[in-house]
Amino acid sequence: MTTAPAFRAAGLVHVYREAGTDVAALRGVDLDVPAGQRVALLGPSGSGKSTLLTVAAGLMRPSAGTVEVDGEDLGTATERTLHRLRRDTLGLMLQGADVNLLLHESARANIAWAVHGVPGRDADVGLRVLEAGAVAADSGPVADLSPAGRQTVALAVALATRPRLLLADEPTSRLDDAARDRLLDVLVDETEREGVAVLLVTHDERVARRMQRMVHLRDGRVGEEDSGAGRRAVVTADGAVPIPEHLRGLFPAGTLVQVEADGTGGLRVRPAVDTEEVVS
Amino acid sequence: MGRSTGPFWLRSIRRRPVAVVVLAALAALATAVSVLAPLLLRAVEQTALSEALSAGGLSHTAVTASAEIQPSRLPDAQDAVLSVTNSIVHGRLWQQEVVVAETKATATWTPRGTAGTAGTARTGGASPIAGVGDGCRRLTLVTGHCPGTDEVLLPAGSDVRIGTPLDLALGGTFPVRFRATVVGTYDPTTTVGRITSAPGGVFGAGGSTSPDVLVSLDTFGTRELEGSIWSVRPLARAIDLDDLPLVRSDLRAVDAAALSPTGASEAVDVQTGLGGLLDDVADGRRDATVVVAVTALQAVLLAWFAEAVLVSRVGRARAAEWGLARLRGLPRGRRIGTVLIEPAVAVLLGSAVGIGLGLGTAALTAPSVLGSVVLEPFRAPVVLTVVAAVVGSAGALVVASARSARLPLADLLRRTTEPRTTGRTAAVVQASGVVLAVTVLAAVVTQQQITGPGVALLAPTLVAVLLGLIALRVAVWVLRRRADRPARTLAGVLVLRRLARTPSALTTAVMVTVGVSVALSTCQTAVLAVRLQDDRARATTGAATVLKVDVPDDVSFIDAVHRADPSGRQAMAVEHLDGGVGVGRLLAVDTTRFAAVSASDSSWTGRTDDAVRRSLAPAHGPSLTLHGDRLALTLDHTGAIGGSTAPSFRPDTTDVAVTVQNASGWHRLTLGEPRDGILRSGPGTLPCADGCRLVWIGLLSTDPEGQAYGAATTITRIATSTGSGADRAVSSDWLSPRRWQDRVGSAGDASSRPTGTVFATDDGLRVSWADPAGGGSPSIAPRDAPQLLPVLIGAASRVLPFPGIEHAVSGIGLDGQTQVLGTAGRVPSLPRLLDDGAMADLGVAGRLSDPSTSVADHEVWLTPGSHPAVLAALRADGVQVTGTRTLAAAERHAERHPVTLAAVLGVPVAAVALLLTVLAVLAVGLVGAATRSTDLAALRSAGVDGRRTRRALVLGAFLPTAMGTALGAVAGTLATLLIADRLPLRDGAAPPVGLLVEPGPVLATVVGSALLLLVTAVLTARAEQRAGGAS
Repeated sequence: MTTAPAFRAAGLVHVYREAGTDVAALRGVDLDVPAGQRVALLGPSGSGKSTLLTVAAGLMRPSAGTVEVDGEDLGTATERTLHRLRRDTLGLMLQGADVNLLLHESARANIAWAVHGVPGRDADVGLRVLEAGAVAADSGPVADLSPAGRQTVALAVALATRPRLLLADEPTSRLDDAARDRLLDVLVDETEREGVAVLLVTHDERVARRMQRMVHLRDGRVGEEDSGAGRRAVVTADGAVPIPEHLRGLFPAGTLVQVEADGTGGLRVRPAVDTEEVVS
Repeated sequence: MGRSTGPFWLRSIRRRPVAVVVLAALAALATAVSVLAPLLLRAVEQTALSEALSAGGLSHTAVTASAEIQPSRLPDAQDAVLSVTNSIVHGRLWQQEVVVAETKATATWTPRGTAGTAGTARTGGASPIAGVGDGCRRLTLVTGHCPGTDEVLLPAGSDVRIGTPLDLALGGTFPVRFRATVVGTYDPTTTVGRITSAPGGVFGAGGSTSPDVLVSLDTFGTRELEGSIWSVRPLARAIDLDDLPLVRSDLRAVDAAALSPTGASEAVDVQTGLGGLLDDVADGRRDATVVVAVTALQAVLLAWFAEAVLVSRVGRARAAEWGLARLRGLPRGRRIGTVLIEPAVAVLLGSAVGIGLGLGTAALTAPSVLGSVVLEPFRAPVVLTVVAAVVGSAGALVVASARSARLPLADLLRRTTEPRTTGRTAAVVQASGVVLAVTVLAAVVTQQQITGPGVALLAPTLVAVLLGLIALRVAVWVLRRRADRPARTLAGVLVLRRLARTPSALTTAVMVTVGVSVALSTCQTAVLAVRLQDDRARATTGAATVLKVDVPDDVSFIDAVHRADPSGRQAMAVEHLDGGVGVGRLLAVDTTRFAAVSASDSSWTGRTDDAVRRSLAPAHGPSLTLHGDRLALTLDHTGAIGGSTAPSFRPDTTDVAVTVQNASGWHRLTLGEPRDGILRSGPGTLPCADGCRLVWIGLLSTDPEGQAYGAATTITRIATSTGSGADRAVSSDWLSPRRWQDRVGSAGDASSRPTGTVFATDDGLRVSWADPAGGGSPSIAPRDAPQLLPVLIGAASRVLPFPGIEHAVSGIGLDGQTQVLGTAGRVPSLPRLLDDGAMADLGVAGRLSDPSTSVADHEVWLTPGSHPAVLAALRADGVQVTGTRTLAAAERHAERHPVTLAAVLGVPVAAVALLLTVLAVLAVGLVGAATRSTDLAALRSAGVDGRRTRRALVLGAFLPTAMGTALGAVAGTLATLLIADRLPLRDGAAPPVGLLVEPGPVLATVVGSALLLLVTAVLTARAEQRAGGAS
């Protein structure tokens, strides 16, 4: 029996309205995150990374396509189901400490508050994360901690309920290199230990390299992936192949190209040379 | 699991106390108001009831049943009156009845004893006889014991010794003489003493008010004295408000008993002023309730609004925190607890403190305004209003929290500006508020008077809400237009753009508008209420001090006062005749001193004092002054009046008469039948040795059948003489018709009044006197007085026009006789008379009716001060002071009116409302301080001077509240103008209201509010800067 992936998106589209205009933040994202896998989402600002994370957290409904978390379709799930998912299945580490934590409480109190009422959960995992991150559990209000300390507490709170999927949005922003690395060490160690899948949004390639997969989003679509063996373009469900960023200059938008099989199982793409077909 | 100390909400309160503390304070103030209002109202009502009862006297605090005593049937009458007073059910509220029989006629009593014997008193007396039953035991005896058969008690102070036999003689249908022995004296000043000694006089059934001679009831019956029997039951004590229904029930029982067979058989008459007194108190209570309840309601509504604003601000600041519980998927109980436990704890704690605060404030303020008063906190109205306040506060925090607690989770992750369009809910609420305000205010404008607890008295809040909402929409529109342009100054960035981005910050402006409006309107109402009562006291009293005086017959009252105060600036002679209604109520003042002495305001008459004097004492010609002790008139061509319809000449039954006036009044001389020749008065009959004024010359009829009569003659000479001296003729000018006028005098019938007509002839003054109806006295008078008594008439006076003479109405003079009055105009209010009555000049009145026959009360009005010289001079003239009233006492009494007290006690309630507004503004600023941290940190990093930043922050915090203060002042003033004249601030007639809005309260409220709000702005700016520096 195969375990359902921690996260699956198929043809995910999300459109929202801003200042009177419809914005298509996601334009057909296909992404599978198996159980226990750590995936980093990269891309320029406006590529849809945070939107994808927000949809994955059940905070927004997809406009089209499907998105599943641990086999549960978020598009058709009731509020009650979403609520249960956030409690039992998801760990959220959203951007900004004030969204993740009770700043006036201690780290221990934050963890206790997060696991309150969750069946079969206690504070052990969270306290272990604190210890690993060298953050005292009762050192006073979280607001008094350093940015690294606050992020460590946020991670501890997100993992305290032993989720199946951790969603983290820019967890290392505003951290210096040493703090960043320390936090990532803790994150990798604990998620491996608990078998938690990770979907992490970041701008930083160094952060992304700590994950098992790097997925590059561009213009609301998955552009490329890098699993350690180099960046690869990802063929979409409708057969589109995004041209890698460094090659886009060869084929500007609107260029007519010929695509042929090269006989070795690959494709050859070249501009059409027929003068009638050249688009100046 | 944890080492956290206490539950999460307690830790949150400890670490973030500001919001909870302020919310608790707001809840405390709301609860305090809800405690204060019913407590003070009840205290006001109880005070009003107690004071009305203590001022009411026996006639208004006792139930009396009386019946005529038929011959030999005293026991039947006694049983009948007792059956009525014993029908009272709630005996604990009433004293035991006092039964006393009193003769109608006065008995004379004289001690029997040897005349001239040393030590024996020979004083006697005359008074009704009263027969006292068992009530004698409750009399306070000064000496001796209760009377038995043929024994009497005399009032204390009598000179007759115990044991002295008296002869008593009583007139009536069956005259009675009997003897009785004095066995003691009693005190007629106690309650039982007053009832026993003069029941008829005390309860207004006529009879003497002087203490009676007391015999036993048996003696009264045995001697078969005629009179009335009384059974009197006074209230046992000052009754409580809770006793009122029981008292009214007893009054109804008494009335029913009087109609029962027993009562009806003896025609028992029930008399009590208690019902009317209770009705007056009830009216005052109702009006006081209106004033207090609506002020308190507005204060509590404002408190709830402030709580909602604060909680919504807290919600905005903690929206992310409240959303976290939903983000984490926490159980519903934990989610609700995160939002509501802290504010609920604040409301409960605050309410508990508020109860104490309200009780304490009531305990402090009530005695200072009301005097000794018992507060009753554990009554249903207090408990219910407290519960309502707590429930309202809880409701406000739930409603205000709901939006922030249910904010879409996705919005928590985005920092957005407030939408440019109003949300549907907010639009509906605002539109409803505008429609309600407009509807109610329109209804108020069309009503002449607000009676009963009217929602219209919410005008200060409604006007403020209306103005606030309109101003809010305009301000948002302007700010957003302004914010579209690049900001050029730091203030432009920090203040205007911020307000444009988060226009909900202007909600505090609406809150301040309402708070200032309510406070200002309440203060104005209090000031107005006191002023109206003081004005009424000034109007009904007349001057700073009013002396009631007795004037000797031979003294001219007005001259005596002039001699006592030659300056004319301290004392004024006044005569006041209260003949019922309309022009039967006449006030005659010395208009030469009215302006200096009277406490009246010229706005009450709508005329200047000079105009009043000119109206009531118009310029007149000289008087015809006579000297001597004998008068001679020379007549010629005497005979009938010409014309077929003229009344007949009846010299046999007609006399020529002359009336003159000296210091002791008018004196009439009869000169005999009209005939040619010299008509002389008897020697010494003219009382003009020191000079006198000729009042009129006319005819008198001695016709027993009262037939019409008349005569015409030519007066060729008017002369006087002294002793046997020669006649001295008056100036020939007095033979000119221009010096004379027809005297209207006391004519009652316009269609056939006696008239005198004058013509000029070469021989002298031709006079034609005619009395077409008979029985009258046609005459002519010098033009040294108006033909009619000029009067100013109160606006509500009903008058009967006197036909045939312009502006003439039928009235009465100071002598109580009919007099034709000349209306000089209608005025809104007159001193003493208010809007019903007529005011005349005393000097002019004295020329048109005999001042010595005046039946009016004589008064001397004095300016503030003691005036010992004036009083001494009056005493020297034989003028005796019999009573004194002061304006200060009248004002003190008037200000005790329940509505006035309620209006004054509304001021602390409004002050609480203003305080909670300021507190809420401060709290909103402090709670929202952290939201500016990013902006301020950026400015600091950019090197912007901290002082400049603080100034801009202060401006940003102060600007909305300053706008709110200004709008609140406008709204409060408009509301006062709208409702002040319609409020039930006074009952009955009163002087015109005058200025509705006083500048003092406006200035005090605006300046005070602005200063407090400036302080809150500074504190808010500091908190914002600190938050910006900390991040």
